[in-house]
Amino acid sequence: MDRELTPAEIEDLLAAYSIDAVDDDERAAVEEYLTRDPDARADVGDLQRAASYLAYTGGPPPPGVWEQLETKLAGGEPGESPAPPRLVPRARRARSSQPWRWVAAAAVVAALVFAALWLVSRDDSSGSDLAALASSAEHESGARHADLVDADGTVLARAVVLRDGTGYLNSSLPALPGGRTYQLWGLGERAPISLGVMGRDPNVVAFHVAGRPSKLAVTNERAGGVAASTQDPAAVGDVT
Amino acid sequence: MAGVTRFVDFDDVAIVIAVARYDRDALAEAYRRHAGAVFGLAQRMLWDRTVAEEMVQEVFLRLWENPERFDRSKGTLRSFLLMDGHARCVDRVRADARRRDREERSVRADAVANYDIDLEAWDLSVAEHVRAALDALTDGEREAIELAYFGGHTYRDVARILQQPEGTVKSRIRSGLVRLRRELNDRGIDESWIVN
Repeated sequence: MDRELTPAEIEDLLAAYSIDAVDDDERAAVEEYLTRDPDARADVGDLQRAASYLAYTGGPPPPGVWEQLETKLAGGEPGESPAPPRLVPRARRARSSQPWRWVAAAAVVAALVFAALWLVSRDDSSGSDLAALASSAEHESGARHADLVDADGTVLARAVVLRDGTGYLNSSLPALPGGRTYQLWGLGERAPISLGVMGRDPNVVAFHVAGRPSKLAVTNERAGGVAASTQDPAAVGDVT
Repeated sequence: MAGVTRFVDFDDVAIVIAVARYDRDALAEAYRRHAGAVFGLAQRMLWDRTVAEEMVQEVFLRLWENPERFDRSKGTLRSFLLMDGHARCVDRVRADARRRDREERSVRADAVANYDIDLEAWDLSVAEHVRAALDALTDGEREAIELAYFGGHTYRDVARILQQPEGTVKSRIRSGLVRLRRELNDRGIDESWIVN
Protein backbone atom coordinates (compact mmCIF):
# COMPACT_ATOMS: atom_id res chain seq x y z
CA MET A 1 0.00 0.00 0.00
CA ASP A 2 1.63 3.22 -1.19
CA ARG A 3 -0.43 5.59 0.95
CA GLU A 4 -2.62 5.60 4.00
CA LEU A 5 -6.24 4.73 3.41
CA THR A 6 -8.83 7.39 4.14
CA PRO A 7 -11.59 6.66 6.68
CA ALA A 8 -14.09 6.40 3.82
CA GLU A 9 -11.92 3.83 2.06
CA ILE A 10 -11.58 1.83 5.25
CA GLU A 11 -15.35 1.93 5.84
CA ASP A 12 -15.70 0.55 2.34
CA LEU A 13 -13.49 -2.40 3.28
CA LEU A 14 -15.30 -3.47 6.44
CA ALA A 15 -17.54 -6.08 4.82
CA ALA A 16 -14.64 -7.68 2.94
CA TYR A 17 -12.58 -7.57 6.13
CA SER A 18 -15.33 -9.35 8.04
CA ILE A 19 -14.87 -12.41 5.82
CA ASP A 20 -11.05 -12.18 5.66
CA ALA A 21 -11.17 -11.00 2.04
CA VAL A 22 -8.63 -8.18 2.32
CA ASP A 23 -4.87 -8.29 1.98
CA ASP A 24 -2.48 -7.97 4.91
CA ASP A 25 -1.90 -4.21 4.56
CA GLU A 26 -5.61 -3.50 4.37
CA ARG A 27 -6.27 -5.78 7.32
CA ALA A 28 -3.74 -3.88 9.42
CA ALA A 29 -5.30 -0.56 8.43
CA VAL A 30 -8.81 -1.77 9.24
CA GLU A 31 -7.77 -3.20 12.59
CA GLU A 32 -6.08 0.02 13.58
CA TYR A 33 -9.21 1.93 12.55
CA LEU A 34 -11.42 -0.41 14.57
CA THR A 35 -9.53 0.43 17.74
CA ARG A 36 -10.67 4.04 17.30
CA ASP A 37 -14.21 3.68 15.97
CA PRO A 38 -16.82 1.82 18.04
CA ASP A 39 -19.47 2.14 15.31
CA ALA A 40 -17.16 0.40 12.86
CA ARG A 41 -16.47 -2.32 15.44
CA ALA A 42 -20.19 -2.89 15.86
CA ASP A 43 -20.67 -2.99 12.09
CA VAL A 44 -17.92 -5.58 11.67
CA GLY A 45 -19.39 -7.62 14.52
CA ASP A 46 -22.77 -7.73 12.77
CA LEU A 47 -21.20 -8.67 9.46
CA GLN A 48 -19.05 -11.39 11.04
CA ARG A 49 -22.07 -12.88 12.77
CA ALA A 50 -23.88 -12.98 9.45
CA ALA A 51 -20.85 -14.57 7.81
CA SER A 52 -20.62 -17.25 10.48
CA TYR A 53 -23.95 -18.63 9.26
CA LEU A 54 -22.38 -19.37 5.89
CA ALA A 55 -20.49 -22.23 7.43
CA TYR A 56 -23.35 -23.44 9.58
CA THR A 57 -23.47 -26.92 8.16
CA GLY A 58 -23.14 -28.81 11.39
CA GLY A 59 -22.30 -32.48 11.01
CA PRO A 60 -20.36 -34.93 13.11
CA PRO A 61 -16.75 -34.34 14.13
CA PRO A 62 -14.13 -36.10 12.03
CA PRO A 63 -13.37 -39.53 13.53
CA GLY A 64 -10.00 -40.04 15.16
CA VAL A 65 -9.12 -36.37 15.41
CA TRP A 66 -10.14 -36.02 19.04
CA GLU A 67 -7.76 -38.80 19.99
CA GLN A 68 -4.89 -36.97 18.26
CA LEU A 69 -5.90 -33.78 20.00
CA GLU A 70 -5.92 -35.49 23.39
CA THR A 71 -2.40 -36.73 22.76
CA LYS A 72 -1.28 -33.17 22.12
CA LEU A 73 -3.04 -31.95 25.23
CA ALA A 74 -1.27 -34.53 27.32
CA GLY A 75 2.04 -33.11 26.18
CA GLY A 76 1.22 -29.45 26.59
CA GLU A 77 -1.00 -29.10 29.61
CA PRO A 78 0.39 -27.01 32.46
CA GLY A 79 -0.91 -29.35 35.11
CA GLU A 80 -3.14 -32.28 35.77
CA SER A 81 -6.83 -31.56 35.85
CA PRO A 82 -7.84 -31.54 39.49
CA ALA A 83 -10.60 -33.86 40.52
CA PRO A 84 -13.84 -31.98 41.16
CA PRO A 85 -14.30 -31.70 44.92
CA ARG A 86 -17.50 -31.30 46.89
CA LEU A 87 -18.67 -28.03 48.35
CA VAL A 88 -18.96 -27.89 52.09
CA PRO A 89 -20.01 -24.81 54.03
CA ARG A 90 -17.10 -22.82 55.32
CA ALA A 91 -16.87 -21.31 58.77
CA ARG A 92 -17.37 -17.60 58.96
CA ARG A 93 -14.10 -15.76 59.17
CA ALA A 94 -13.28 -12.90 61.45
CA ARG A 95 -13.01 -9.57 59.72
CA SER A 96 -9.54 -8.60 58.67
CA SER A 97 -7.70 -6.54 61.22
CA GLN A 98 -6.35 -4.39 58.40
CA PRO A 99 -9.10 -1.95 57.44
CA TRP A 100 -9.64 -1.57 53.71
CA ARG A 101 -8.35 1.63 52.34
CA TRP A 102 -8.90 2.70 48.78
CA VAL A 103 -5.88 4.15 47.15
CA ALA A 104 -6.39 7.81 46.32
CA ALA A 105 -8.17 8.01 43.00
CA ALA A 106 -5.44 9.99 41.30
CA ALA A 107 -2.87 7.36 42.11
CA VAL A 108 -5.22 4.58 41.15
CA VAL A 109 -6.09 5.78 37.70
CA ALA A 110 -2.55 5.66 36.41
CA ALA A 111 -1.86 2.09 37.41
CA LEU A 112 -5.28 0.51 37.17
CA VAL A 113 -5.83 -2.09 34.54
CA PHE A 114 -9.38 -2.79 33.54
CA ALA A 115 -9.21 -6.54 33.28
CA ALA A 116 -12.75 -7.85 33.20
CA LEU A 117 -13.07 -11.16 31.46
CA TRP A 118 -16.03 -13.40 31.98
CA LEU A 119 -18.43 -12.22 34.57
CA VAL A 120 -21.51 -14.30 34.34
CA SER A 121 -24.36 -14.09 36.76
CA ARG A 122 -26.92 -16.62 37.79
CA ASP A 123 -29.50 -14.53 36.01
CA ASP A 124 -28.14 -16.04 32.82
CA SER A 125 -29.11 -19.45 31.54
CA SER A 126 -25.71 -20.69 32.62
CA GLY A 127 -26.40 -19.89 36.26
CA SER A 128 -27.00 -23.37 37.52
CA ASP A 129 -23.93 -24.56 35.64
CA LEU A 130 -21.89 -21.82 37.27
CA ALA A 131 -23.21 -22.74 40.67
CA ALA A 132 -22.10 -26.31 40.06
CA LEU A 133 -18.68 -25.17 38.91
CA ALA A 134 -18.35 -22.87 41.90
CA SER A 135 -19.25 -25.73 44.19
CA SER A 136 -16.75 -28.07 42.63
CA ALA A 137 -14.03 -25.41 42.82
CA GLU A 138 -14.42 -24.73 46.51
CA HIS A 139 -11.99 -27.36 47.72
CA GLU A 140 -9.69 -27.76 44.77
CA SER A 141 -6.05 -28.18 45.57
CA GLY A 142 -4.34 -24.81 45.76
CA ALA A 143 -7.59 -22.85 45.82
CA ARG A 144 -7.61 -19.60 47.82
CA HIS A 145 -10.68 -18.28 49.53
CA ALA A 146 -12.13 -14.98 50.65
CA ASP A 147 -15.09 -14.07 52.78
CA LEU A 148 -16.19 -10.58 51.80
CA VAL A 149 -17.74 -8.76 54.73
CA ASP A 150 -19.49 -5.42 55.16
CA ALA A 151 -18.63 -2.75 57.73
CA ASP A 152 -20.46 -4.74 60.39
CA GLY A 153 -18.54 -7.91 59.67
CA THR A 154 -21.45 -9.67 58.01
CA VAL A 155 -20.36 -12.01 55.24
CA LEU A 156 -22.02 -10.83 52.03
CA ALA A 157 -20.07 -12.89 49.53
CA ARG A 158 -17.70 -15.82 49.40
CA ALA A 159 -15.10 -16.25 46.71
CA VAL A 160 -12.72 -18.96 45.62
CA VAL A 161 -9.74 -18.29 43.36
CA LEU A 162 -8.08 -21.26 41.66
CA ARG A 163 -4.45 -21.61 40.78
CA ASP A 164 -5.09 -20.79 37.13
CA GLY A 165 -6.76 -17.48 38.07
CA THR A 166 -10.32 -18.64 37.57
CA GLY A 167 -12.54 -17.41 40.36
CA TYR A 168 -16.12 -17.78 41.50
CA LEU A 169 -17.99 -15.49 43.81
CA ASN A 170 -21.18 -16.51 45.54
CA SER A 171 -23.02 -13.39 46.61
CA SER A 172 -25.82 -12.57 49.00
CA LEU A 173 -25.42 -8.83 48.41
CA PRO A 174 -28.75 -6.96 48.50
CA ALA A 175 -30.23 -5.97 45.13
CA LEU A 176 -29.39 -2.45 43.99
CA PRO A 177 -31.81 0.00 42.40
CA GLY A 178 -31.86 0.39 38.62
CA GLY A 179 -28.90 2.21 37.13
CA ARG A 180 -26.48 0.77 39.67
CA THR A 181 -24.21 -2.26 39.58
CA TYR A 182 -21.83 -4.08 41.84
CA GLN A 183 -18.25 -4.17 40.64
CA LEU A 184 -15.62 -6.66 41.73
CA TRP A 185 -12.01 -5.63 42.39
CA GLY A 186 -8.76 -7.42 43.11
CA LEU A 187 -6.10 -5.75 45.21
CA GLY A 188 -2.46 -6.69 45.37
CA GLU A 189 0.60 -4.70 46.18
CA ARG A 190 -0.36 -2.01 43.72
CA ALA A 191 -3.62 -0.45 42.63
CA PRO A 192 -7.06 -2.11 42.61
CA ILE A 193 -7.77 -4.01 39.42
CA SER A 194 -11.31 -4.24 38.14
CA LEU A 195 -12.38 -7.84 37.69
CA GLY A 196 -15.66 -6.80 36.10
CA VAL A 197 -19.16 -5.64 36.79
CA MET A 198 -21.58 -8.03 38.47
CA GLY A 199 -24.99 -6.51 37.76
CA ARG A 200 -27.43 -5.09 40.26
CA ASP A 201 -28.57 -8.38 41.78
CA PRO A 202 -25.78 -10.92 41.42
CA ASN A 203 -25.82 -14.41 42.78
CA VAL A 204 -22.98 -16.52 41.38
CA VAL A 205 -20.39 -14.93 39.12
CA ALA A 206 -17.25 -16.28 37.48
CA PHE A 207 -14.19 -14.14 36.93
CA HIS A 208 -10.58 -14.44 35.98
CA VAL A 209 -7.67 -12.70 37.60
CA ALA A 210 -4.01 -12.46 36.68
CA GLY A 211 -1.51 -12.64 39.54
CA ARG A 212 -2.35 -13.23 43.17
CA PRO A 213 -4.62 -10.56 44.66
CA SER A 214 -4.38 -10.33 48.43
CA LYS A 215 -7.89 -8.93 48.79
CA LEU A 216 -11.15 -8.90 46.88
CA ALA A 217 -13.67 -6.12 47.21
CA VAL A 218 -17.08 -5.21 45.83
CA THR A 219 -18.23 -1.65 45.27
CA ASN A 220 -21.57 -0.11 44.36
CA GLU A 221 -21.14 1.81 41.10
CA ARG A 222 -23.19 3.33 38.33
CA ALA A 223 -24.37 0.84 35.69
CA GLY A 224 -21.54 -0.07 33.36
CA GLY A 225 -18.91 0.18 36.05
CA VAL A 226 -16.00 2.54 36.47
CA ALA A 227 -12.30 2.41 35.68
CA ALA A 228 -11.34 3.65 39.14
CA SER A 229 -13.59 3.63 42.14
CA THR A 230 -13.90 6.37 44.71
CA GLN A 231 -16.52 4.43 46.69
CA ASP A 232 -16.06 2.66 49.98
CA PRO A 233 -16.43 -1.05 49.39
CA ALA A 234 -19.76 -2.70 50.09
CA ALA A 235 -17.82 -5.81 51.07
CA VAL A 236 -14.16 -6.71 51.27
CA GLY A 237 -12.12 -9.71 52.35
CA ASP A 238 -8.62 -11.17 52.44
CA VAL A 239 -7.78 -13.90 49.95
CA THR A 240 -6.11 -16.67 51.92
CA MET B 1 -14.40 -38.90 24.78
CA ALA B 2 -15.12 -40.42 28.16
CA GLY B 3 -16.55 -38.14 30.79
CA VAL B 4 -18.12 -35.72 28.36
CA THR B 5 -21.55 -36.44 29.80
CA ARG B 6 -20.58 -34.34 32.84
CA PHE B 7 -20.96 -31.25 30.62
CA VAL B 8 -23.74 -32.29 28.28
CA ASP B 9 -26.30 -30.03 29.94
CA PHE B 10 -23.97 -27.07 30.33
CA ASP B 11 -24.23 -24.13 27.97
CA ASP B 12 -21.28 -22.93 25.92
CA VAL B 13 -20.29 -20.12 28.27
CA ALA B 14 -19.98 -22.49 31.20
CA ILE B 15 -18.08 -24.91 28.99
CA VAL B 16 -15.49 -22.27 28.10
CA ILE B 17 -15.09 -21.31 31.74
CA ALA B 18 -14.39 -24.96 32.53
CA VAL B 19 -11.95 -25.13 29.62
CA ALA B 20 -10.11 -22.23 31.23
CA ARG B 21 -9.65 -24.51 34.23
CA TYR B 22 -7.94 -27.07 32.01
CA ASP B 23 -10.89 -29.42 32.14
CA ARG B 24 -10.47 -31.77 29.21
CA ASP B 25 -14.01 -33.07 29.49
CA ALA B 26 -15.25 -29.54 28.86
CA LEU B 27 -13.07 -29.25 25.77
CA ALA B 28 -14.34 -32.63 24.62
CA GLU B 29 -17.92 -31.41 24.92
CA ALA B 30 -17.11 -28.24 22.96
CA TYR B 31 -15.48 -30.48 20.37
CA ARG B 32 -18.49 -32.79 20.22
CA ARG B 33 -20.80 -29.84 19.61
CA HIS B 34 -18.80 -27.78 17.17
CA ALA B 35 -15.94 -29.74 15.60
CA GLY B 36 -18.22 -30.98 12.83
CA ALA B 37 -19.03 -27.44 11.73
CA VAL B 38 -15.36 -26.38 11.85
CA PHE B 39 -14.40 -29.50 9.94
CA GLY B 40 -17.10 -28.90 7.31
CA LEU B 41 -15.84 -25.37 6.75
CA ALA B 42 -12.21 -26.46 6.60
CA GLN B 43 -12.99 -29.25 4.13
CA ARG B 44 -14.92 -26.91 1.90
CA MET B 45 -12.10 -24.37 1.91
CA LEU B 46 -9.10 -26.66 1.79
CA TRP B 47 -10.38 -29.65 -0.17
CA ASP B 48 -8.04 -31.90 1.71
CA ARG B 49 -9.35 -34.07 4.48
CA THR B 50 -6.03 -34.46 6.28
CA VAL B 51 -5.31 -30.74 6.26
CA ALA B 52 -8.89 -30.02 7.36
CA GLU B 53 -8.45 -32.38 10.30
CA GLU B 54 -5.25 -30.58 11.25
CA MET B 55 -7.17 -27.33 11.11
CA VAL B 56 -9.82 -28.68 13.47
CA GLN B 57 -7.09 -29.66 15.92
CA GLU B 58 -5.50 -26.23 15.63
CA VAL B 59 -8.77 -24.41 16.32
CA PHE B 60 -9.53 -26.47 19.42
CA LEU B 61 -5.96 -26.26 20.68
CA ARG B 62 -6.22 -22.49 20.42
CA LEU B 63 -9.43 -22.61 22.43
CA TRP B 64 -7.65 -24.73 25.02
CA GLU B 65 -4.65 -22.44 25.23
CA ASN B 66 -6.45 -19.10 25.00
CA PRO B 67 -10.08 -19.52 26.08
CA GLU B 68 -10.24 -15.86 27.08
CA ARG B 69 -10.28 -14.98 23.38
CA PHE B 70 -13.92 -16.06 23.35
CA ASP B 71 -16.11 -13.07 24.16
CA ARG B 72 -19.70 -14.14 24.48
CA SER B 73 -20.90 -10.59 23.90
CA LYS B 74 -19.61 -10.90 20.34
CA GLY B 75 -21.47 -14.07 19.45
CA THR B 76 -21.79 -17.77 20.08
CA LEU B 77 -18.96 -20.19 20.66
CA ARG B 78 -19.68 -21.81 17.31
CA SER B 79 -19.45 -18.46 15.53
CA PHE B 80 -16.19 -17.76 17.34
CA LEU B 81 -14.70 -21.13 16.39
CA LEU B 82 -15.85 -20.80 12.79
CA MET B 83 -14.37 -17.31 12.49
CA ASP B 84 -11.11 -18.53 13.98
CA GLY B 85 -11.08 -21.56 11.69
CA HIS B 86 -11.93 -19.44 8.68
CA ALA B 87 -9.04 -17.06 9.31
CA ARG B 88 -6.64 -20.00 9.69
CA CYS B 89 -7.95 -21.61 6.49
CA VAL B 90 -7.55 -18.36 4.56
CA ASP B 91 -3.93 -18.16 5.68
CA ARG B 92 -3.39 -21.74 4.57
CA VAL B 93 -5.10 -21.28 1.22
CA ARG B 94 -3.17 -18.16 0.37
CA ALA B 95 0.10 -19.74 1.40
CA ASP B 96 -0.51 -22.82 -0.67
CA ALA B 97 -0.03 -22.13 -4.35
CA ARG B 98 -0.75 -25.75 -5.07
CA ARG B 99 -4.38 -25.23 -4.20
CA ARG B 100 -4.99 -24.22 -7.81
CA ASP B 101 -4.35 -27.81 -8.76
CA ARG B 102 -6.57 -29.33 -6.18
CA GLU B 103 -9.36 -31.54 -7.27
CA GLU B 104 -12.78 -31.20 -5.93
CA ARG B 105 -13.70 -34.12 -3.81
CA SER B 106 -17.03 -34.98 -2.37
CA VAL B 107 -17.56 -34.19 1.25
CA ARG B 108 -18.79 -37.21 3.05
CA ALA B 109 -20.12 -36.99 6.53
CA ASP B 110 -18.72 -39.62 8.84
CA ALA B 111 -20.93 -40.63 11.68
CA VAL B 112 -19.34 -41.03 15.07
CA ALA B 113 -21.09 -42.33 18.11
CA ASN B 114 -20.74 -39.16 20.13
CA TYR B 115 -22.57 -36.98 17.67
CA ASP B 116 -26.09 -37.55 18.88
CA ILE B 117 -29.24 -37.52 16.84
CA ASP B 118 -30.72 -34.49 18.59
CA LEU B 119 -27.67 -32.39 17.85
CA GLU B 120 -27.67 -33.54 14.26
CA ALA B 121 -31.35 -32.68 13.86
CA TRP B 122 -30.71 -29.26 15.35
CA ASP B 123 -27.81 -28.62 13.01
CA LEU B 124 -29.77 -29.77 10.00
CA SER B 125 -32.67 -27.54 10.93
CA VAL B 126 -30.42 -24.49 11.19
CA ALA B 127 -28.58 -25.43 8.01
CA GLU B 128 -31.90 -25.67 6.19
CA HIS B 129 -32.81 -22.14 7.24
CA VAL B 130 -29.37 -20.92 6.19
CA ARG B 131 -29.75 -22.49 2.75
CA ALA B 132 -33.14 -20.83 2.34
CA ALA B 133 -31.68 -17.50 3.41
CA LEU B 134 -28.84 -17.88 0.93
CA ASP B 135 -31.39 -18.42 -1.82
CA ALA B 136 -32.66 -14.92 -1.15
CA LEU B 137 -29.32 -13.41 -2.15
CA THR B 138 -28.83 -12.20 -5.70
CA ASP B 139 -26.59 -14.32 -7.88
CA GLY B 140 -23.97 -11.59 -7.83
CA GLU B 141 -23.99 -11.38 -4.05
CA ARG B 142 -23.84 -15.14 -3.57
CA GLU B 143 -21.05 -15.55 -6.11
CA ALA B 144 -18.90 -12.82 -4.59
CA ILE B 145 -19.39 -14.05 -1.04
CA GLU B 146 -18.78 -17.70 -1.84
CA LEU B 147 -15.61 -16.99 -3.79
CA ALA B 148 -14.27 -14.80 -1.01
CA TYR B 149 -15.45 -16.80 1.99
CA PHE B 150 -15.03 -20.37 0.84
CA GLY B 151 -12.37 -19.76 -1.77
CA GLY B 152 -10.20 -17.69 0.54
CA HIS B 153 -9.84 -15.00 -2.13
CA THR B 154 -9.42 -11.29 -1.48
CA TYR B 155 -12.07 -9.01 -2.95
CA ARG B 156 -9.49 -8.00 -5.57
CA ASP B 157 -9.07 -11.64 -6.61
CA VAL B 158 -12.83 -12.02 -6.74
CA ALA B 159 -13.12 -8.92 -8.91
CA ARG B 160 -10.52 -10.34 -11.25
CA ILE B 161 -12.18 -13.75 -11.40
CA LEU B 162 -15.62 -12.30 -12.02
CA GLN B 163 -14.31 -9.50 -14.23
CA GLN B 164 -16.19 -6.96 -12.16
CA PRO B 165 -15.00 -3.65 -10.69
CA GLU B 166 -13.54 -3.98 -7.20
CA GLY B 167 -16.10 -1.54 -5.83
CA THR B 168 -18.93 -3.68 -7.15
CA VAL B 169 -17.54 -6.76 -5.44
CA LYS B 170 -17.14 -4.95 -2.13
CA SER B 171 -20.69 -3.65 -2.36
CA ARG B 172 -22.07 -7.09 -3.17
CA ILE B 173 -20.26 -8.67 -0.24
CA ARG B 174 -21.76 -6.10 2.11
CA SER B 175 -25.28 -6.18 0.72
CA GLY B 176 -25.21 -9.99 0.64
CA LEU B 177 -24.17 -10.30 4.27
CA VAL B 178 -26.74 -7.73 5.37
CA ARG B 179 -29.44 -9.54 3.40
CA LEU B 180 -28.39 -12.89 4.82
CA ARG B 181 -28.68 -11.62 8.36
CA ARG B 182 -32.06 -10.03 7.69
CA GLU B 183 -33.39 -13.20 6.07
CA LEU B 184 -32.26 -15.30 9.01
CA ASN B 185 -33.81 -12.87 11.46
CA ASP B 186 -37.06 -13.04 9.50
CA ARG B 187 -36.95 -16.80 9.93
CA GLY B 188 -36.57 -16.36 13.65
CA ILE B 189 -32.92 -17.33 13.74
CA ASP B 190 -30.57 -15.20 15.72
CA GLU B 191 -27.51 -15.77 17.85
CA SER B 192 -29.47 -16.69 20.95
CA TRP B 193 -31.41 -19.29 18.98
CA ILE B 194 -28.22 -20.98 17.88
CA VAL B 195 -26.55 -21.07 21.27
CA ASN B 196 -26.27 -24.68 22.26
